[in-house]
Amino acid sequence: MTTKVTQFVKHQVAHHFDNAEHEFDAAKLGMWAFLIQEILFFGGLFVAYFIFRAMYPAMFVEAHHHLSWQLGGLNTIFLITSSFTMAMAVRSAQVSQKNKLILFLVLTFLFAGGFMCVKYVEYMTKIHHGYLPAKWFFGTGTFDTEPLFFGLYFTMTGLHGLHVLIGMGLIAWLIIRSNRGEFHKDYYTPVEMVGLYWHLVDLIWIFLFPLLYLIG
Amino acid sequence: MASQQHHHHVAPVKYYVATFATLLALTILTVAVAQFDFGAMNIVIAMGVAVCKASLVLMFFMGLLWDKKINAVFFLTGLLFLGLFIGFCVLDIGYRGDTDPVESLQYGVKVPVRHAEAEH
Repeated sequence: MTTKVTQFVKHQVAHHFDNAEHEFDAAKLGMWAFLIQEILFFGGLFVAYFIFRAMYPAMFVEAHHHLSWQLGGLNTIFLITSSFTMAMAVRSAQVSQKNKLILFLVLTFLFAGGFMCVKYVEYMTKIHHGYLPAKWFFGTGTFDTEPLFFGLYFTMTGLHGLHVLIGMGLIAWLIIRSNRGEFHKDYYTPVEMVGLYWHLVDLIWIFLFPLLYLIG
Repeated sequence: MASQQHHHHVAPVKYYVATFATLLALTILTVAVAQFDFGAMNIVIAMGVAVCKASLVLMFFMGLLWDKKINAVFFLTGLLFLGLFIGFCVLDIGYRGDTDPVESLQYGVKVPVRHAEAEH
């Protein structure tokens, strides 16, 4: 018998919980409360977008042509793929497959990195050509309200990009802990919670992409 | 001890693969549709597809479909307030001036006509 047995670290349930299930459910409800708070604070930016779009529809249409829907589409595919690999990572933890868990987490991290690289290229092009918010705008446009669009663009995608960076940090933390064998079928709470956070980042991009890149 | 623990629902891989494939297909659809101009319907179509994609992510990737219902209640209650926030702001900007007289000030924002002196 030379079967290789993966060593897992046993999780200690915090003393103020009845059992592991109780602990997991409390963490998850807290996470959902946090996620809905995230949606509400992004909501303020979406409201700003809808108001300015209603006021200057022609300017929005012209300004959005400065964004590359090809790059935006590529980033959408990166994020959706990373969401899939994250869901698979959570599933691997649920069935105690340590190697698959690490593989899917690394893939998720790489797709997130790909997203940030494309974002970097996009931002540099905008900055170089002067399609910037407010007084920093020096691009060419028919409307003097055009800096408004880029104010919204940089605020919305910037805040979203910050979430991607934070997510990458959290995924790196999960990779280190997974490698120590800390996550298995009896305890995978951090994987599940970071997973939920990561899907939310995807969810927000699902709305940002058509609003900014496709219909202006 | 481990045998007494309740184990969570583990979804078959096919659900995740199917969700992933559908999300990619909907992304292609929304990009393809955006190449045509449907006027005011543009935003309705784009948001319709986005809502479908978001629902798939929520139900399958985030597991709300199999989860304890309290999580879905939390989420939907939050969405209700987001709806109120966006809904009333859009109604205001879209229909301001339809019932009360307004005048256009700077930045094109309509404001109610003031009769400060008439009130005294």
